[in-house]
Amino acid sequence: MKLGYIGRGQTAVMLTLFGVIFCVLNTSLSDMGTSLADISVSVMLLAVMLIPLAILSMSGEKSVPELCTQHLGFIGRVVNILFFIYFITAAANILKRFSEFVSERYLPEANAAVCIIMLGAVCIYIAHTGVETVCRMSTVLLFMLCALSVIFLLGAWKDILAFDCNSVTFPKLSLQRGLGGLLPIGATGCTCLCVMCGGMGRRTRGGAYVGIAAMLAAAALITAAVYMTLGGYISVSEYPLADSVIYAARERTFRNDGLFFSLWTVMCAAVISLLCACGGHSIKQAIPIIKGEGLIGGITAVICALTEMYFGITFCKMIYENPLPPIILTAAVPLILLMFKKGKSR
Amino acid sequence: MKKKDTRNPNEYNFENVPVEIGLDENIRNIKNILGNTSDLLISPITICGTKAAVICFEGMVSGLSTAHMVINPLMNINIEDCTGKKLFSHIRDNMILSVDTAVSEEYGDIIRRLMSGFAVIFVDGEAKAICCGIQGYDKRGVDEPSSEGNIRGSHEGFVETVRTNMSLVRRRMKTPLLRFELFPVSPRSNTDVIVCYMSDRVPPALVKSIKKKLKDLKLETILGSGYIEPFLDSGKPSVFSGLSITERPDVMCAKLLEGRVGVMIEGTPFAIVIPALFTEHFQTLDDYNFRPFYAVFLRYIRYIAFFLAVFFPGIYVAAALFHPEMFNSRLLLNLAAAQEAAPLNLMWEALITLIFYEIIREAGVRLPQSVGGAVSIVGGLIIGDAAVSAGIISNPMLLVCAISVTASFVIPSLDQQVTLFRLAAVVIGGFSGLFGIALLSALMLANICAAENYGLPVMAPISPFSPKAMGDVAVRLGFKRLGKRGFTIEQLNGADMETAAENELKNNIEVSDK
Repeated sequence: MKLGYIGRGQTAVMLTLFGVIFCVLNTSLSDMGTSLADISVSVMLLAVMLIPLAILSMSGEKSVPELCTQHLGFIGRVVNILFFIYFITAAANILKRFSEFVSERYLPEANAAVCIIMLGAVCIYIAHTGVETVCRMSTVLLFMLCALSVIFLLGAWKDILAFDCNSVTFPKLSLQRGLGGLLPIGATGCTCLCVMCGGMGRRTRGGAYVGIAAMLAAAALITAAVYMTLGGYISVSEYPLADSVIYAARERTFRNDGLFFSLWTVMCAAVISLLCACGGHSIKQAIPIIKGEGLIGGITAVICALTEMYFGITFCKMIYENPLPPIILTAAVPLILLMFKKGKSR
Repeated sequence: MKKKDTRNPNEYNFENVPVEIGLDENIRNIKNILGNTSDLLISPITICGTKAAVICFEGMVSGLSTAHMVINPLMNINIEDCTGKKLFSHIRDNMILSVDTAVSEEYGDIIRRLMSGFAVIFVDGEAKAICCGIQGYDKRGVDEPSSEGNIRGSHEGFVETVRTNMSLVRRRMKTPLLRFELFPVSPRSNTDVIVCYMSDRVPPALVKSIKKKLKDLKLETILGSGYIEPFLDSGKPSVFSGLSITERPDVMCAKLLEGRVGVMIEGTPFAIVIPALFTEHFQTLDDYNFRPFYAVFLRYIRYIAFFLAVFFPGIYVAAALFHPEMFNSRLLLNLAAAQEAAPLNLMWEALITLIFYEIIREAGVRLPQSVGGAVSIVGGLIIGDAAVSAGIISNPMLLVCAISVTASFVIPSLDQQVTLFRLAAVVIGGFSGLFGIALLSALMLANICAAENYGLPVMAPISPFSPKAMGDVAVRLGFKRLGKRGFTIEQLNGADMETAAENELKNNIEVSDK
């Protein structure tokens, strides 16, 4: 897998997309003030967690999974398998939830399993082409994100203008709740860990922090916009942003929810592919004889998503309910690697 | 290992065989090698009592030039005590029979030159031959390019003769830094191939790598640029290529200035430019002749045309079958009324229309021009009109397909890809609505982004993003500003062509060693 040309802009865009997708599919958004406060704390924590990774990326020659195998030997390989599980379960979860959304709300003619297989096939191909390809798609995805925002604003501007800002109350910032809200976004940081820390040095490190800031802005805007548009409906909606945009587009004169949906699907495909490619990269470091790591990552994610759907097993439950795995993989592992490297240089 | 018999050269074994000292043996050997072919002309002459012969191929050299420039001067030679060696030295040192003269000592070289339109002079008593370049074969004159039309640019296009093409480029780039390297490629056909580049702009490893790939070609013959394209491309399976084709010398010059390498092949007017970018398909020479505001407008028209060409029929089918709520209510009623009479499903209707178009187009291309026009009339007017009247195809579908096909004419260089993705969009849109169209667009985007050649991503300068290059991608700045922004392709963000080309060269060498 080539990691050579991933620039700061690409990293920033991918982080933002991760923030958006995770927020939409995994955050409850039940109370606007609380959600905004939790997201802020979560992103701040993530920024702190990324410090060891940022220092590690200064030498910028190898990715974290590569460094794990190099410095930690057998334990490093085990850590890489954990990375693989982490990425693939996250990918499977998005794949399943998005396919369910398509099947329930947008294309009732299609079974969710068919949607999983179709989306999965595209993601397998993209993951096979590598992390670099997904990151190259980011410039076009940035344009899509902007287009999405414009469509949303065009559809829902009346609701947004009519919204009473005084109704929003911000609670005290809470570390505990932040840690809870951190988990989905922490997964994003953890994923990008793989991408960022390979051969990019200072430029990508800057991009990571720009991305985190952008993620905060995007997540906050989405939360606010969803809340303003859907109001009371939000508590019963399974897919807040997706539903709100379809609502906004259908109820207003600007009828282009199809365009929105297409952009949304491409973004989702990119995010899932990146997770699969990173998963493949990790398993390749754990078991070097493996070939076609992107394919393995993608196929595993599709199988997991289908299993989740048919047997009701949530593979990533442990990850989303406990802050420990993301903290270990995003912060602790790079910190240990950093200490190893410093120890060796002495 | 069995030693080669070098004394009896034949059509299979002549490459490194030295020329004989006797004229008769040489003539016999040449006849032997060429199998006494009918187009071989041998003119024996006697100069000051020494036997000599002028050999050439009929139709490959100019008869008039041969008589005026070679035979007449030879007949007027007057040397005292003439021997074969004296005569040969006199011709070689004191006479200018043509500007392109060479001395050959091996049959391999002599045969190659004969095939390239040289006249070869053998003198009895000297084991060498003088080759004079007096090519006079029939060739097409410089004409307007057939595939890259323009309004205000030059109307000269490449022709089938590489030497003429070389001069067309040289006339536009009068600089010593412009280099042409001509060498024969393919062991059987010995096709002349020219690699051209600007020595100060191009990464040296890129030129080396391309030359190595060309020299290692084991093709029986090269009859078109398409024969060697796969060998020069990245080798990864991709719908989009990292090479571009041009028929215009001015476009070639512009590309060379950006640090690219051009490959021209004898027998085809299409030159290959390496590497190429996706955004270049949307640029034409006229963009730089028109006022910037109009050029920008035209460029965006092309971007829109590409989108319409690929997705319009697919989106129409998807929206009509799965998401009719997207249409305005009046439009929906009109479409429904038109569709009511059609017996086929929309997807099949679109597929049939598009495949019919492809058949008509193919017939128009393959048939002689005079009949081609009739095919357009029969296909476009009679079949189209009859299909609508008979209720087989609805009017809106015909309109949608016509718009899409017309849009694809705007970017002819992407025609193959557009055709493929258009049909795929119709099928996937017919089965899974906009969800499928979105997946196809993700797949297409990934395919373009994954393509790269010699370390340069095809999607550059959009991704990796290069703000410097946006002056000629997102807009088209005026020349006062664009001229200052000149850059080579190697400077595009993210491209490390030198390393990539070196790696390819290493890989090539390793493979050939194995």
